[in-house]
Amino acid sequence: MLESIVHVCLAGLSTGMFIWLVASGLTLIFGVLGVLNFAHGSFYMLGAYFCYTLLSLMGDNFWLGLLLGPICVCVVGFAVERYFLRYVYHLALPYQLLLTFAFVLLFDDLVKMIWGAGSIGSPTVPGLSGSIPILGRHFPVYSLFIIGVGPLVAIGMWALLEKTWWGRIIRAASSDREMASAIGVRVPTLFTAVFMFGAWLGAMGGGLAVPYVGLLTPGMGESIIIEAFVVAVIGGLGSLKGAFLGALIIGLLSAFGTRFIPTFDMFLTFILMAAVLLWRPQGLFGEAA
Amino acid sequence: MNAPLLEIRGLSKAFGRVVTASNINLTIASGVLTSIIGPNGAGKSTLINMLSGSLPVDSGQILFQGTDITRLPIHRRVRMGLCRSFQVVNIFPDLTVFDNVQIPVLAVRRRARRLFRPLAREAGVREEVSQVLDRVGLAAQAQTVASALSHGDQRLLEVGLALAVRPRLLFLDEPTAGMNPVERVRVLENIRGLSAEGKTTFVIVEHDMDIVFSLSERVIVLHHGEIIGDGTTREIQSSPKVREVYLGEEVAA
Amino acid sequence: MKRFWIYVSIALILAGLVAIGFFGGRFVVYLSMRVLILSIFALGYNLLLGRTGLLSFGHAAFYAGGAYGLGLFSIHVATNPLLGIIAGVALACMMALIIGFFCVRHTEIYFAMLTLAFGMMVFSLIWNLRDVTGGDDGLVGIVRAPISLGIATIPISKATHYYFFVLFCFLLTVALVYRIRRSPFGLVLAGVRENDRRVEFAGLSVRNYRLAAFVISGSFAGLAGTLGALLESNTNPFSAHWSHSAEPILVSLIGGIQTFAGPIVGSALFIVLREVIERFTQNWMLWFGLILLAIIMGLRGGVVGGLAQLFRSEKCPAPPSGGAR
Repeated sequence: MLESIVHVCLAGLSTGMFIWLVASGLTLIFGVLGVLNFAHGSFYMLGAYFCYTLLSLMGDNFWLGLLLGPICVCVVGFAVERYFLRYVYHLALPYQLLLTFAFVLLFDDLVKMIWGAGSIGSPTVPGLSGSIPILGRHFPVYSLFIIGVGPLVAIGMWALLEKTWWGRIIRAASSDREMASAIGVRVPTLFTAVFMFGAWLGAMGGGLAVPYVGLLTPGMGESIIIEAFVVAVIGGLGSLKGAFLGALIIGLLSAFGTRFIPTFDMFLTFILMAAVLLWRPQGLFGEAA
Repeated sequence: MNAPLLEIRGLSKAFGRVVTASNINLTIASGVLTSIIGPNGAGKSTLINMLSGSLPVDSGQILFQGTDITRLPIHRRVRMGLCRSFQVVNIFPDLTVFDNVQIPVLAVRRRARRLFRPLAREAGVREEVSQVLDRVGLAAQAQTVASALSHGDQRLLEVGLALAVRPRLLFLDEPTAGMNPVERVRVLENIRGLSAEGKTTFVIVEHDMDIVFSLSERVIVLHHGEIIGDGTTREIQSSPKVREVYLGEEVAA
Repeated sequence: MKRFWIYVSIALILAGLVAIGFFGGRFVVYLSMRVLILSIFALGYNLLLGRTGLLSFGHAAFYAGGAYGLGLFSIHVATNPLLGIIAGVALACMMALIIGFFCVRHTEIYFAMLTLAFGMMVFSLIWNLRDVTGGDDGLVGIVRAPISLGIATIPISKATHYYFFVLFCFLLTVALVYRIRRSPFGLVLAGVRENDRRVEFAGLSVRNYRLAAFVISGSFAGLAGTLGALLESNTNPFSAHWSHSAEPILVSLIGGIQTFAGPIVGSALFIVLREVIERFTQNWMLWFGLILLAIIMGLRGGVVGGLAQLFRSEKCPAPPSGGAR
């Protein structure tokens, strides 16, 4: 019984950390730019596909692929923000959401055109493959790796935002755009940079997903974006701390749900999302509206 | 009418450590044109917001014609006859001037719930809208989209929207700010005329002392959330306390 | 002058729609029905989006409510389609009332996320309650029994006959939505979109108006769902998925959110273009993504809005006042 619970917890932790990796970029973009980026799932997907292609080109070197893939996606993110998103900030919410949705459609088909509509198998990473016994049962090493990477990224982002000059500017611009502009911050450039960083984070998630999810398909963006939304909402839209903790909660809930009440775990996730929105719309850890 | 039009008992409001209303007690009688003045930060806007329902009170009671309205939502207070206009123009930008005024008129004539009757058939409503527009002098611009109006005309529309609900008690928050002298005179004459008719009691928040003293029958002075003066214009003008407040601090006249 | 051309176009379109029923080939008739059904969904939905300014990602749940309501009624109670439609619309209406009650307490992004959550809850319920809803298979074997009106029986099992019934429902929807837009209620909805605070200060409860718009649009979604279920003779759980909710948003935007005919034009373009594009390439999403980009970046009035601009540049007298657009 104990090893059952421990394994479910570990599974929940690794799912949660994985979602956190994807949701971190979404949350950052929403927190600073105020835009809910539907296309974030596409950055994730592009990251996975780019990483996969690069690593196959470079003799199956996963780490090189992980390094270069997200950088390519960064460039895509630059184009999206600089030439399109920037011009719709002043428009009503539906237009912003639909613009990012248009990119979802575009990227989905572009991926299909370039890599084919079928699914691509994913390789294992030497050194991180296989599983090790924990309390008598085997648990994948790569999942443990993910459990480790998650908090690293969290700490890294915390350090970036709280301890560096860059981070201070980002925080200033996100809380008061006009004021930051008045004291000389070039807000449009900052927004582009933050959007690129967010895209990079999403693509990182995609790259790390390559050995994790088993198969790459053009629809992988859609399924992850909803989970990222749920986590971002529960944690508090715009709050990185909230997204981290929210991801943990959803990961664990999902793992326990799948293990003990298999049919309704999707339902539970959305009921939690609705409940948080209704009774504490700022999220569990966001600031009061 | 036994109960006074508006009675405020012990109204208090604080934002953290900043006290914006401190145990305010006030009675407003029907038909007396009243002004509320005070330096910036005195709590005038907070008071209006609490009375109209935009801001919840921390403690105290508001009684309108004898009924406790302290916790009533905004639209219910308006239904009862208590309304306000806004200092910053608060209109429907993409609708025509006519449609702007039509909304409150439909509401007050209880026709705003009709789903299947075309607006074109509501002759009574159209007439009343025209009357309101005549009153504020915007009849010629009835078909202009509100966002295309000049700033002064938008302020007139703002007043028109407030009048359209046929309020018994109307709070005007700096109604003439940003108007040119011609418009200003027109609005003030309107207010004076309507006040004389007796159907609406006006309470005006103003910074311009000329307007205050030429128009009002009663002046209330707020400072740091407290009432420090309440009387006729003569009494207020000669009150030493009020002078100290106004001369001792920066004031946007 | 402009009025005359509007009437002429309407007459032509009507004639065309009727002609399709009589002379159209099987596929054209089927496609047209899909356009009409999507139009019903989008016309109702646009009352909420374009008129009231609320973006809901969960309206597919009400479409599914209509579809499954009719399906369950048809299979377990009676095959009379009229009763089935009433059952489906009633279910959708009730769902919209309950869900809307919770959702209209919030606005903007929170409203959008709430409707998404509730919509997906409905989807997961449909997916998981296999015994009731058929799970991922859906309900099958929905019969298009003849409509019995007491004095006469109208057969609708043939596609061409059913087409005229769908056309009738479409015209009914057009008339109702048109009336609602031009009513006092419709004007207040526009006010809620433009400045909800001011509407409160006119003495009206904004929350109630939003809820009413939500329920009305949800009911039309339900009607579309019932007609869709009868068309395909089965139901599909993905009709409740949020990606299906995106369809009325897309087509309203393409046609023109602020116009009356926008959702209809958008539906026609969406379905027809997709068929055309799919003849040549698998990648219809790419083209739609590009079209959407073009509209958002440049032509925010959509197709109908853009055409209206063209006509406005010719000197035509403005229509008389007293009515909302």
